[in-house]
Amino acid sequence: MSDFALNIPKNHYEDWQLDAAHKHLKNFDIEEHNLVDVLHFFQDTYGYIDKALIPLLAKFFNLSKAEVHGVISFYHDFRDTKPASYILKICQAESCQAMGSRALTAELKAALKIDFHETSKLADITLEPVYCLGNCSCSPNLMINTKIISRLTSEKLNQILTNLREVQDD
Amino acid sequence: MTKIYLPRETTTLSLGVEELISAIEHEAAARGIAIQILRNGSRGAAWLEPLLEIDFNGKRLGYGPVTASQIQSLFEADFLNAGEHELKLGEISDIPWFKQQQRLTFSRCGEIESLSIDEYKKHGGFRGLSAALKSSSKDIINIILDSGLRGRGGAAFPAGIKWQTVADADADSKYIVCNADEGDSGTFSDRLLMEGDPYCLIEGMIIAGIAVGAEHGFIYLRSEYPLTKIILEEALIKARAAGYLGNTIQDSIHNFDIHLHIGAGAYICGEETSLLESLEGKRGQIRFKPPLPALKGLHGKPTVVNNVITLASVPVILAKGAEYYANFGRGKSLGTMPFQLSGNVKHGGLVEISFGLTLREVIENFAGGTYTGKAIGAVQVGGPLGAYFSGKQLDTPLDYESFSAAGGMLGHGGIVVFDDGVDYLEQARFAMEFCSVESCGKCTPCRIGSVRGVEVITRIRTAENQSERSEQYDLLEDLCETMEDASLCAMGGLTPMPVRSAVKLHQLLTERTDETMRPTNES
Repeated sequence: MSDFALNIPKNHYEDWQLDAAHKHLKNFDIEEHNLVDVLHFFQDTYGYIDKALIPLLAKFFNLSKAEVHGVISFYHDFRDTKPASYILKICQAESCQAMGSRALTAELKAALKIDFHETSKLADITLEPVYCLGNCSCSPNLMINTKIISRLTSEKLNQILTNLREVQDD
Repeated sequence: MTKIYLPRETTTLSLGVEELISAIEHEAAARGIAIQILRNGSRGAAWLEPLLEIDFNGKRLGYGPVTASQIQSLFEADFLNAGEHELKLGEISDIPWFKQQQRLTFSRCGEIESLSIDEYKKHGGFRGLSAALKSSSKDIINIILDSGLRGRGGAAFPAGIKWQTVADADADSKYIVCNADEGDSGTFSDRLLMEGDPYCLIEGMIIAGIAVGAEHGFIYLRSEYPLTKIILEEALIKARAAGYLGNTIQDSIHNFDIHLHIGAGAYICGEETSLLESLEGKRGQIRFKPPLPALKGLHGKPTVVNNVITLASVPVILAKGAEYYANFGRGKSLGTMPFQLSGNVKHGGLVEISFGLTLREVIENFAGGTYTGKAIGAVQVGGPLGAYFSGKQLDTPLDYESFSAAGGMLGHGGIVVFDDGVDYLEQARFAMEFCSVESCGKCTPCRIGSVRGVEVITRIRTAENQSERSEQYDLLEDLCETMEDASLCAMGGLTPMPVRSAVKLHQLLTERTDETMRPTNES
């Protein structure tokens, strides 16, 4: 475990501001970018898709508000509340199941006292399920922001949680 | 100055390769030794990663799996001059794991610097494109037809026929779409190829464009692959700068460019019509077929939708000929297939082999048994919609027809191993749950059937007596039949495959247990 270094940059987001969002939107070209591209940009910028964006996007793409909402709600990636600095995604798919991910998921939920799609009060962590990270030959896998940690064990999980809590305390 | 190769690849990164590189640079500087670190892709032997390779007198020698704490001892053993060390693996090409493979599509993966166009060309890259630029559309398509190449994404539809349909369609614009939404659990061949040999995919897409008369290509990459995204972006920029993308590529009459699109976490977008909807910025709901995407695809135009591995297999076929490729494999499954070993295995990773070895041979020759050391309890082949086989059902040859005849499918080549601690009924329940989470919602059998499926399987578990249980089994079979026959696409249509196969294994196991528990005077 001594080789296991964990220095993952926190996610930083801009505070939601309608005027700024409006300006951002003007940088997009409807010929070149589609709604999913633009949603990715706003989620990367603000951490989530604010409800106030929906009418803006509807007007920009000449869609109904219902259509925009429909696209946002269809994709698992898009969320409607601001996440923590660390988004922790633990794989729930078969290869990781074969290596004990069910028990590890239960441990993780218990340690953070939350269920999926929730943000912990004990740490700056939002927990999400994910179905395959494509790193199956080193299962079980977990992703923190964009970093994948493979061959996850109980011990490794505890170390990650301790580490992330320490960063938060700094 | 010794050249050191260390992969820039997701698995290796997850195992701390960046920390390893810092340690090497630090140690080399302290010792005053000049080194050059090059970033290749992974050769697919995940169990050897991080696999450190040195270029020693023109030979590639490997050390692995290396951790940062072993760097000092490696320097002390003079690994830069092929010194002996407990991690020394010898010449890469002599390692049985690699020696037993037939690497056509993955021939360069791990061998070359992933992003070097010069290295790519030195190792046979762009030879397929040169051949294509000298050929007519008809000739290229005939070569693909003769090679027997079938879609490697899962459906195994002959690539040449799809291309022919698009080429024959009359339209002002056509598209090449690469399906890189590799969502099946237990698969990672697309990722390894894109991270380790991105120009191979780019070359394949250009050739497809020339063959069907398309000037625009799209790569639909899943959002769970952040490193792949960065590597592809860099590769596209370099390919454009070198005149392989853009207008009049390599001074020919052909124009072709590739746009990278990132998905947003939806398994269903691996289904081609759902992918096209998503690429247009809409909900990834599947479309009715017909019309086929080959006739009315992206923005209603004729579109080739092929998986990464299908497209990446095109350059070698054009460079070496249809016959060369078709000489590998058997029956109607020609060429090679990258199989991916994962789950509870000792030696996980990717192996590219001809079709035809049995599942058991692949698991025994490459995977080296289970990671936990227990007996094999189940093997799921072909992703979350593929069938479960017990440890006793492993003698099916790995080709499309044999697997289909055995009640399974090869899919995208994922092989997920479970040890004998596996709970078959739980796997069946999960298959239904996965379908309920990932269903696009367009058709009722899939959307509602999967939810009911989870409930029925839960009731099988909690049933208090045999008659209650068999009632639920009947209900489940009825439900599976409806989903299989009435779903619009493979998501709902194939979910019964893992469900039925896992339930059957569960029944066999429980019947056996019931048998042993039955008092002897009763039988």
